[in-house]
Amino acid sequence: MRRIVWIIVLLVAVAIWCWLLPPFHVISLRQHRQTEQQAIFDGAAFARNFWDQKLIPASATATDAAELSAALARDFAAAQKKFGHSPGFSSTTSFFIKGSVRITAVEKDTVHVALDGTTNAPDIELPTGLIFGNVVRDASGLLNASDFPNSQDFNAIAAALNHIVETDVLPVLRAQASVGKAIRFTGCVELDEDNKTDPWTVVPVKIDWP
Amino acid sequence: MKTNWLKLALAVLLAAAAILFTQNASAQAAAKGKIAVVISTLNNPWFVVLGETAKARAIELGYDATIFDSQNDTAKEAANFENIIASGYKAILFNPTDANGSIANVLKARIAGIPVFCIDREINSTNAATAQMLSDSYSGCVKLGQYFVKQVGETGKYAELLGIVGDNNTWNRSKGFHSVVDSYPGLRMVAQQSAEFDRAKGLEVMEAILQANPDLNAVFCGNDAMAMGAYQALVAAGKDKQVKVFGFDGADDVVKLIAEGKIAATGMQFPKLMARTAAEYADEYIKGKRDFPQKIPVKVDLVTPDNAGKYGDYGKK
Repeated sequence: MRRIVWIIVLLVAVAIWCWLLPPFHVISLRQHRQTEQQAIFDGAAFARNFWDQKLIPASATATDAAELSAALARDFAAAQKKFGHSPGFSSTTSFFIKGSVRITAVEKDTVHVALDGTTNAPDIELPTGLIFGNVVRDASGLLNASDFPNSQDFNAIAAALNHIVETDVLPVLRAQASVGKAIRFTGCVELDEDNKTDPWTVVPVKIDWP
Repeated sequence: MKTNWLKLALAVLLAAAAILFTQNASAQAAAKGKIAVVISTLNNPWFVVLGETAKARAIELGYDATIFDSQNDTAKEAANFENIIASGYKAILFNPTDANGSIANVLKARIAGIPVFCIDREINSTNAATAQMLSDSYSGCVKLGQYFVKQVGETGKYAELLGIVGDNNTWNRSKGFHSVVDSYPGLRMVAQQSAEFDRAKGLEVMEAILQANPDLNAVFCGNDAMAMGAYQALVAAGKDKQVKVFGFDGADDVVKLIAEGKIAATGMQFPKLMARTAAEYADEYIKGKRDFPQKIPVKVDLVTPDNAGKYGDYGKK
């Protein structure tokens, strides 16, 4: 009898112990999946929100392409510092620019344009095929790598922004571009001091058709 | 006889001067303190360059510097950190082993008041290290991917050798590459396997891939050590002209093979620039500076047979 009492006391003690300090938790698979999903960074959603809320509204404050061209011709380094963004160590700088242009040629994956009323202007190409790289993410200077603990998340934003350009901007440009048409563009370009004379490849984020 | 005495006296004077100079230099270093350089593995020449450069720059700046090898093992890395914290080091120049697994070590150092400057590899935290100097692997591999499509064409079979799966560089490189190559449905990846950034494993994995895919057109390797291993396997199988090899790092042996037209391309990561800057940041921190950007990207250059002559000694000539 005494032995049974001891066993009951022991079982009660173990039960209280487990209640106070549970050795494991039971959660449903659905709950586990939801927690996992929440922990995964959604680059596409972040990029869409950034595009709508920050990047497109910032196009009003983009640097005028003709002004940038003149500033770079005067003093490349000073213009890079004033208008561009080049985080860390890099020989390239990205710029968020806008301009009024006339279409001079239309090719399979490129629309060539010329800046209106500007002498010694650079050749500008607007790519209309696949978009790669980080220029759309970096040119405006609105996003900072230091805000993202995992650089894979920061890079996922770059890929998602390129996808938005490919789906939202380029189909219209491809469909409506014809030689002689005037357009206003806002876009992102990466320039390298070592290759100053190269054409500017500007990834468009906004095209206005007069 | 007189000349001999003069020579002896001069030798004694020179020896005394040398001893005094050495003692003075050691005293200066002792006064400035010790800097630890913790490297993920010294079993790869690229990381040896990274570690030795950081150490040399720390010594130039007047510190005693010691390299610790984590042997790609987070437990070994944790032991290194405990040793460093107990030994009164003033700063740690750190090449992490694992983006998540290394955070605890950095936090321990931070709690002990020792600043940590990550080099080349990141940790998935923005409030543990003082600053992180990181190659922009993603952008580098976007460029590499674009060059890959130009060289291989829009159709073909390729394999990918991944690095260590717990390291962010592995995935930033892979994702940068795939952000381009996956847009071409005619390019088919027939194998994707980790060779852990290791040359011997690169050779081993490439041999196995070739057995199953003798008609391979190209291989993309997440670092140059694996690219060298893969190239060795291709030479042994007589397929080095059939299969184009793409690496990443900018290791000297690979840059030389690119110049000879034997390897297609690599991404130059500038390890010496990152290592020197990390040592200089540590010096600035010790002198009182505190406002460092958390993540400092370092651009990666595409090295191809057209420009390989401009690169060497782990940087631009």
